[in-house]
Amino acid sequence: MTLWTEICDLITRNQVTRLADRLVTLTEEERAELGGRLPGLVKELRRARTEQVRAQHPDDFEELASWEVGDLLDELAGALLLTGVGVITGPAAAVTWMTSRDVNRRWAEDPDVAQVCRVAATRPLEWRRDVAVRLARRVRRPADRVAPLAVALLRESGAVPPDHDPLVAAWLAAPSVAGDPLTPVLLPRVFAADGAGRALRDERLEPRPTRWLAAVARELPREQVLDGCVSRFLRGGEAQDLRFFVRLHTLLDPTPAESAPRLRDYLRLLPSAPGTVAELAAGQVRGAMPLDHADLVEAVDALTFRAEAKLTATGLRWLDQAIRATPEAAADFVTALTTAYAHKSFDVRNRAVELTLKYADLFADHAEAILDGVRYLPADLGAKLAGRFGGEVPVEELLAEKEFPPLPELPEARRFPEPSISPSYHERWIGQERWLAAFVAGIADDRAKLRRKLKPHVEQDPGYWRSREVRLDPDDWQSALSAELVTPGSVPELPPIEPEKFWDGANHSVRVRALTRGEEPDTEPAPRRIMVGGAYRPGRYLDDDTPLRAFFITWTSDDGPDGAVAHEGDRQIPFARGRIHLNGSPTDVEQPWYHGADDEEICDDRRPDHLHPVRTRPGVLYDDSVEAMPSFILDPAYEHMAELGVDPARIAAMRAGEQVPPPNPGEPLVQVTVVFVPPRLRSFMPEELPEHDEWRRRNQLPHPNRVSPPHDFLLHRYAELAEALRNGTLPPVLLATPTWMSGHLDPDVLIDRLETCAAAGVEPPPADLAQALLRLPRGCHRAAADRAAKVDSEAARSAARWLTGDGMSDPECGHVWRHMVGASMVEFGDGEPEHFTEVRLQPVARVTAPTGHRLIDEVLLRQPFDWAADESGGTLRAWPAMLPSHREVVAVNFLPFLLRGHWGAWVAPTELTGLEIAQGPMGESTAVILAFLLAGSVPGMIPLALSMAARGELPAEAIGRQLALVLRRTWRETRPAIAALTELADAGGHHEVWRILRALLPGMLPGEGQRITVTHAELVAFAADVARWTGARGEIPVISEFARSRRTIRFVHECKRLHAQLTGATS
Amino acid sequence: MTSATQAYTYAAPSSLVDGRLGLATSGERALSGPAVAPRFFSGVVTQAAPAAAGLLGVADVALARYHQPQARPGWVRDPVVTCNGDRLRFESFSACGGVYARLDLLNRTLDGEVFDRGTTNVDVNAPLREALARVGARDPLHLGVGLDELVVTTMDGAVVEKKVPLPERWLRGFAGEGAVLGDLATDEAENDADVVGMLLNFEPEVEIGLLADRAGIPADRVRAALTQLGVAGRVGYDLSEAAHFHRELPYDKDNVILLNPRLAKARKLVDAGAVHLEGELATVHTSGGARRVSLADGPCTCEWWWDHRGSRGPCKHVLAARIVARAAVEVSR
Repeated sequence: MTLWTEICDLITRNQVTRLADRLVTLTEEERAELGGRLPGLVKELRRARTEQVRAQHPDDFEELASWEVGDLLDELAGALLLTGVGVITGPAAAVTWMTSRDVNRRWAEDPDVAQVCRVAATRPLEWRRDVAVRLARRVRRPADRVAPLAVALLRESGAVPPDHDPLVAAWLAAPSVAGDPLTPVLLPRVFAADGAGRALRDERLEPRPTRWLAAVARELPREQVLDGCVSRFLRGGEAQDLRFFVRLHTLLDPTPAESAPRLRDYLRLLPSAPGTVAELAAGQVRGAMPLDHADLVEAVDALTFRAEAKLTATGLRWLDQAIRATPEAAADFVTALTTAYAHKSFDVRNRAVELTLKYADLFADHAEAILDGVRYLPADLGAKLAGRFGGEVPVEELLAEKEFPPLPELPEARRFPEPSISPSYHERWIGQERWLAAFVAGIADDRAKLRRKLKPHVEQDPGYWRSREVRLDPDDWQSALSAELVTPGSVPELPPIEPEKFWDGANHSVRVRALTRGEEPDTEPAPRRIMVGGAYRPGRYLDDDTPLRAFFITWTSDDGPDGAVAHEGDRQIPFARGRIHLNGSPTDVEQPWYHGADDEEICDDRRPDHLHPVRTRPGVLYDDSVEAMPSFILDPAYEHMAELGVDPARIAAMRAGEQVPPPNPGEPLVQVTVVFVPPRLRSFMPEELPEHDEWRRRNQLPHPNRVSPPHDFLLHRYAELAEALRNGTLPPVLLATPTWMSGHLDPDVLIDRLETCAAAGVEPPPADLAQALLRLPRGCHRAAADRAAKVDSEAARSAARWLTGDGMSDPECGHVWRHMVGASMVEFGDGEPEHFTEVRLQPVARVTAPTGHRLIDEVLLRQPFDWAADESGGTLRAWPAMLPSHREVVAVNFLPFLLRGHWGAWVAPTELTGLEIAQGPMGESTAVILAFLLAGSVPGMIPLALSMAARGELPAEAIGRQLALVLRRTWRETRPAIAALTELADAGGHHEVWRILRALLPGMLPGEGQRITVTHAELVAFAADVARWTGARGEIPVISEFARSRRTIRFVHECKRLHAQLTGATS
Repeated sequence: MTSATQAYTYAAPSSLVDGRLGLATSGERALSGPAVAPRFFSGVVTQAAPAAAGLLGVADVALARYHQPQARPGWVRDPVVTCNGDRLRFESFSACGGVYARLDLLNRTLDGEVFDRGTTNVDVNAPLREALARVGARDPLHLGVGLDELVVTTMDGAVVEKKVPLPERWLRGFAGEGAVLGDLATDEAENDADVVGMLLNFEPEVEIGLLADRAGIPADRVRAALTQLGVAGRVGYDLSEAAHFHRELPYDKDNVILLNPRLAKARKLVDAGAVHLEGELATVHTSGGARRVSLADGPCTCEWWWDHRGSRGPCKHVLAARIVARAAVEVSR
């Protein structure tokens, strides 16, 4: 083996340690020879791997090959790097090699620095220094793969580190070593190097200064450190980049004498340095007091310019002290005061005005400048200044006279479009109602024509709905109805529940026990119980159910599975090729005819034979074609055998089904017994369902748990039409088709349709009738009732009763806020616990007076769950038009869709538009939806709220109450809610906004022991504005309470302002 | 992403010593012709502190990459300064192309001598930033844009070289709104731009009426030409004055059109003969089906139009149709 092949071999086998051992022994001549050939190695590796991939995947090898080559280089990167360091002659070439993309691999492991240094140590000193410096210049970020290596080589070679900023950051991030030769050179550079502050941002003072803070304080002269920090501050940057230097400065804690020469610099830092730096600088400036007058003015000007209230307050304090000390120079501070007028903090503005008034006499010559600043102040503060300095007292009136656009005009109620089976641009529910009406009427009118029209649709329909056990989507029902019309009998009702035959799957269990060799084994005690898998479902097995049979298959480790013998009781059963043979000769070669042993199982809601019809052969009740000892059952047995001491080679032979060698002397004898229960043909009678549930099942309606009540009701309408179509009992016209877009049905139109049905002698189906009645406008319709009474049909009499009374009495509607404790939902009550999770709205819907229509009382008006079934999502928009006179019921049904997730509720303004144009009282449930969507600034909410306001139907007080709960209990936040209410007020809904706020405030203001926040102040400030715009009156007790407080915080100030407005008192 | 590298050299670093701020310039187009290190201004800035803070702010924007605040670019890009005669305009773009900053030092804050008009990069280095931060309200500040020979020769001859990538998104910043694409689509505008470009004189405010007279073309064509020049970095737009101003950024205008992908795609559609005019309407055949376009006010049946409704300017189909419609008019003329 030549040296080259030896090195190549070590590289390709990735034997890094041995490679390093070899590299350090090389002579210079050998290095030179190897160095020349090294680049060729990578080419060769690429070529070889590519060829290999091409051989395996000739068609599409290119991309795969690039992946494979990449993986190979990632793996060998360490070895290639090491070799390069060991053999390449020129320093520049060596660094090019080390940083080349074939060696410096992004996804490779980090280089082994110690190993590389060991190899490098055998190179000449000049070479090492040159490489170290060149490599250091290639560092771009502290996290570069070569960075630790560059730092290590610099340390090891004693080279002078280059002036390269990223190197400083990389050095800071690298592990430290005792007596680091780089420290004297690189440590002073932390002040100037870009990225050093970022690398040191996590250094801390507490509990004791961490590594670099301590090192800088220890190693460098104080003067140099202080200079460095101040220079760094002046160069600017983000707070986190400067954090280290702020802490370092704090650690050094300069004396006033030390700070004095840098006072100008600290002053310059006051106006625009990051907050922490400005605070530090303010501290130094304060330490240098008393200042030169001009410096003090500059400092005060700078501090009052800051956005941080704390710093501005400091500036105003200095201002106060300065004017007290030298009243003659007061005029120099006018700019600072007027700057503070525009500050966003109430306290700062207040203080600035107080100071202005305090020294008003001294500012007499500067009234103009002060009055000029008044426009930045809120009206009341501005008025104080204007009063003192003789300016106009403007502002207040301006705000009070704020103009609002009028509420929108209401559009006229729109008529529902004519029936049509063609899709249109209308919303989906409209298209579906039109389709149903056109379908029923079309059959009565000209069945053949409709069939011709629908035929192409049926032919193009891929028919996915056929494979679904239940039909949830109205579109699926349309397809089913069309198909049944075009080809009668093609969509049959499911058969009634009847006895089922199905194959119950095989069962296995295995037992392994050691025997004493030479003795007869004890007769195995028959297990008393055999575990047989399967799931429960209601029903019973029939008399012809095949009894369970168990077969015991026994063999020993001496013979292997080939020696297995099968018994049933005392009777031996033929056993060959891993199978028992019950139904024929063991020599029969037959394909297993029983399929699906693995995927068939007995489940509650699935008929085992539903998808795979049972295949039977006369007289065959047990399937012996399945493997009696499948590998999954024997694998554990073999493992157990190995534990007992059976020779692994013999076990391997048993596993492989090969000839098993004779046992070694002293090897234990182990017996394996497999209990095998073959598949059997069973006979089962599922339990009968209650009548309506059975009807649902046969008509492919979902279980009531899976759908919301209105969706369920909607599906009933389709199901009953499908049934009527099969039975030929379709009415000539559908009763329930709306006449208005709100979903309302003109009573006279209903009577017309009832007359048509009666004339045809067909009784309308119950869901259609129920829906039609629900769509009648609220109130009593005497004339229509009289007409209905004259029609001779059960449906007409029912309609007459409905029309004479006031329709359906409003169900009890509402909701309960609940949250999860442990695994159950608990009501909130009035307040909230400190921590809570998983908030839900439990809908409440109760029938107050039964209508006598089962589908209304039991299906539509049943109480919804507090969770939403995904499948109902698509039909939400249809619901308002199903209950156009009882919209709160719809809102209650929307609730489960409201708190679905942070990325948007499933209820949207589109659905609520349906409620807006409907009738009936709006209660807390509508309100909570509106509140939640408003607080989230959901697009479309403002126009909707305005439109409701224009109708005089916006439940503002309820919204206010629920909004407080929404803000306290959900992820909605107060500030966006205020923004939304502001938008609503500006758009003309200010009176409604005030009503909302009035109900909201008691629920939102801080209670006993609660912290008062800026948000509270903002809310009250907004309320005070709205109250002024609307001229609201009437005390709010909680506001009056706060207004009596003597505190000077903004919150109290705003409460006083609101209180004054409400009580007509002057503030 | 296509990206060019812009390299430029300063004869010496900028410095601020004893209240004399010397901004080193790098060779650019000046009114007097190309210069290696043009000298524009020398004089006193009367509002020293705000001017220094403003210059720092402009320089900060050039360094910032707002969508990745953690990652400062590894290179340093400098602001450009334009001397319009009566003012100095410092401009910069953030590295992400998202933020544009401009500082105008107007006549009343400057007291000194204007040597030339033109645009150039100015060097802003770390020591200079420190010195600028030290400038206080009461400090005098003498500003020289372009070092005078004396200063340069007394320095130790340290030449500052900077190389910055010039990503296309940065250039697109000059193009501004996609809404101007309609102006770019015309060949006419290209020719007009050449004419108008020659008439520009580093004016602080370009008067469209005057230019129209001088160039002998209508005002709307001047506007289109100015848009074209704006994309090429030769004209800026001052929002507060609502007027264009002349400056010459060092970028090749030929690249600019290519950098505008929507326009490039529109040209491609035209070249492919995908546009069929039918009076005021046009049909544009694309791989996604035929799009119906109204030439006059620009609605199109494509999804992009459906999404943006003209808020981002015309879609590529409308652009393509307009290009073809213009060609048709030219032919029929």
